[in-house]
Amino acid sequence: MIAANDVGLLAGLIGATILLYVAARLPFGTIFAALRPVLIICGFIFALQLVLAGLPQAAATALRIIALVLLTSLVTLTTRLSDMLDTLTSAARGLAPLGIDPPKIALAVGLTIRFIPMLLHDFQEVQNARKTRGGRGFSILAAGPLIIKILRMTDALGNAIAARGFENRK
Amino acid sequence: MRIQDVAYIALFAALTAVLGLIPRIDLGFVPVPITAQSLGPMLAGSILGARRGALSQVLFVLLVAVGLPLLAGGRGGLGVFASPSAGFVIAFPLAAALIGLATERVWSRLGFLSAFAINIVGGIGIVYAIGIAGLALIAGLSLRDAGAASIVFLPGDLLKAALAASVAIFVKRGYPVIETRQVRSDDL
Repeated sequence: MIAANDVGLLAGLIGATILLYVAARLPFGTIFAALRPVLIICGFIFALQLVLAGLPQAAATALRIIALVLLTSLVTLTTRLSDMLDTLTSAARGLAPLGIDPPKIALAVGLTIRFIPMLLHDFQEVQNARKTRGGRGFSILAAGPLIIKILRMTDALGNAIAARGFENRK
Repeated sequence: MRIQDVAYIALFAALTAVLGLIPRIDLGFVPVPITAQSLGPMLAGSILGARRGALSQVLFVLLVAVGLPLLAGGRGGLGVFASPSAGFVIAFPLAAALIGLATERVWSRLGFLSAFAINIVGGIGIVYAIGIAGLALIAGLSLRDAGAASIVFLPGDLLKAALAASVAIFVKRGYPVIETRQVRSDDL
């Protein structure tokens, strides 16, 4: 599909994909929301191709990207996050013979999602401390200590989980 | 793998996500803003080493793929991997693996310059190679044009490699994770 260069075919494919969006009862706006992140780069590539290779090639490229993004986004839009994560865990179960431990993957996913607001908070704390002292923006000098701080916190957390017998729980 | 390692892996996956949230710098003349996100694989590789660093980036890419909006600009989902910039994200695990491998090899002698060089080769070389190949493939550009379109990010990425190197040295002195692992390897 990546090789498809026929503008008519691609336009038809986009039309069919939009019908799938309608069939999935997604509001019309989601189509634009799905395309928004690639719109600028798509326009940029269109302009570049227009200069380099002419209109048919430029149109085909832009349409191909739009079709691919719309189709793949449809999967994400119509699948619950919990289902996606379940798929991930069951795929991990299939990889168990390779030494991959599914419960540890689930733990890693959960920890990552929990860590994100924590890291944002730490980052903001450093910035506020700087602001109080009259500094502006983020100082590179703060990056090292910040990383060590979060490494320490992570060590403590890992030890706490280990101490509660996560590994011996089989 | 110890639970502590799982926690480190989760931490650097989260760190890569948070780096995408830090205010973006818009260059004005380039359509894509510069973000700090590509610092993620650099820091993961040079602080955690090859195995854990690469796994943290695999986790990050997987979480993006299942639909969490963790990429800069709140992007996420399978659509990301069909977009022209897909290669730059897919390259993260390999970049972290290579940076980690090189960092572990020179660990006892690691200084700013060697860390800087490692981060340039792994964090810029590998990411650009895969990213530009992906851009050329999806956007139908020649490799040369795709490369020319990406070159505007080079100054910012060099800056990030320098930042990653200085943080790596700071962490090596103050709270080394790679060395700790070697000391404790007998209790695995």
